[in-house]
Amino acid sequence: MTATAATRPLPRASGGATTLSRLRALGPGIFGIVAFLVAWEALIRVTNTPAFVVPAPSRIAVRLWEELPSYAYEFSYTLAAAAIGLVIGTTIGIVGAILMANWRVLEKSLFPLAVILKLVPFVAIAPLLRIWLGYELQPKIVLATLITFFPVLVNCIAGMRSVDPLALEFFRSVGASRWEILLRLRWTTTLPYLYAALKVNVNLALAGAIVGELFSSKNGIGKVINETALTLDIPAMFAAIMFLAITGVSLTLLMNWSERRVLFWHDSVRTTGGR
Amino acid sequence: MSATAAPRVVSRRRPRSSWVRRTAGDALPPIVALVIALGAWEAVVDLLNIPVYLLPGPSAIAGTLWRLVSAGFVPPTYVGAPAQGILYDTYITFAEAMVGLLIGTTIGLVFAVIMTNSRFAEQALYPIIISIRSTPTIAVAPVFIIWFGFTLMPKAIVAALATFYPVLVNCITGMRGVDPTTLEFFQSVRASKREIFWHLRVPNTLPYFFAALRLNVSLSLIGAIVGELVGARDGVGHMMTEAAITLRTTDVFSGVVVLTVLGVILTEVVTLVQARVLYWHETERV
Repeated sequence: MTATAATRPLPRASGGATTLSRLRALGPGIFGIVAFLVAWEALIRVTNTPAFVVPAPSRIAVRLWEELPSYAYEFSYTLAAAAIGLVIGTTIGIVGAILMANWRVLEKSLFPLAVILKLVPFVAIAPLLRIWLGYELQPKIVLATLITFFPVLVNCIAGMRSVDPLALEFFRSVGASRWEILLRLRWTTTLPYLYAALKVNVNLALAGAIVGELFSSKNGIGKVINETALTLDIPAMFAAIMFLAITGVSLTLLMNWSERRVLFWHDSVRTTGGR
Repeated sequence: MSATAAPRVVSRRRPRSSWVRRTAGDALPPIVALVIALGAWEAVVDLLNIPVYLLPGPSAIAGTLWRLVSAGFVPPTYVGAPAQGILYDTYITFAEAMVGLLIGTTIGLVFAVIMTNSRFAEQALYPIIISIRSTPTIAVAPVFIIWFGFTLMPKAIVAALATFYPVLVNCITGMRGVDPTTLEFFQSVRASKREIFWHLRVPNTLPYFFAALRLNVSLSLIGAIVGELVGARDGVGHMMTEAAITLRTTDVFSGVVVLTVLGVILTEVVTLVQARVLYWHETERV
């Protein structure tokens, strides 16, 4: 038994030791965050900077604690718009990539356009979306969809193209159909590229929803930021930003974690731990 | 020597006529698709009689775009004036984006060097950088508008925030990813840390750096526009906001076209510079 345990891969050797070493690895990171906040706090206190210029972190934290229920409620609107937009954008992107991978005419004619359309700054049409779609969730969903669609499409095509030519030849030699090649071969090379796009898109979708809310909204964290900026309630504005930073980091960590789970077999995860 | 060099050079360049044919063959399908899409758009707008302030057809947009571009370099007469020309606003947005790109790239490079040299610095800075990156820049933009007013600075800062991360991550990857055998060779001939940095790590990082830069030129434009949406007196983003409020929808679409063209041009410029600088790299040779 002990002999087999020794030959097992290292990370699984024993639960307790890995948790401890993982905690130890977190040490410098926690130090960095704490040092950053302490330096900020000290700078504000020493220079006596008024709170309407830059509030101290302690003050922001207190304000965030007070406003937390209302921010969480407003954020649920932002998150809903971002999530719906992300799902729609990703779905259309994947479907488009599959169509283009199967019909070369589509790829040759539409892919170069998609590469250009990826460069369109869609945030700039936020004011138009308000005119078209009003003040509810729809304009934010459309904006999040537009922003997230092209990265998914372009990355999925790149992933489908990156398939090993020898493997493709083998599949063809055993008479695999297009769909079998897609479902059993291309899908595996596409997944890492799709994840790369998704990791960016989670934050982009949130940003898209917030842009939409800054312009026209009854609800949402973007509306909160807009209102606090207009009334110069800077501590509340920083509290909202800090709220977004915390949720943004949580989403990033969630994506990294799920990538490690889904792509555990892929080189990029095996060598870097999915950073 | 020259005899062996000559055939290699020749074989690398394809005959001119086939190059022209290939480019035409690559360019034709997307142009056809574009023409079909624009034709369908125009037809739908015409047949359904959609008013021009809701959704203008491509011809109406092209007309407005031509008027705005041919007007030349005219600054707006007063804040919120209907756009006379678009070149001045384009110049403003371009300047904001480039200043932001410069700041963002510099910060990204400096932190990449610090973080590759010290494991502790990397682990300590990483959470802060992830926090900054995960916070939507649009949410932070109002802060900089309040601090700096309706100047170039807040837009440049937003553009810098949008661009520093790709440079940082790519440059860390490039500096870390040096070939271990080459590194061993450098160490075996007693190359100093500085020599290893300049002669091994920097050349290895350049392809990654350019990949980040190509992404960043369009990100910096988006950053500048986001900053302008929050508060500005000029720039394409400001022009488009004003136009949308006053239902000059063709102006809004003209802005979209101009920004996209600017993004494509800047990306192409980076690609050209990259081809010049990285002529020795394998990705450029094939």
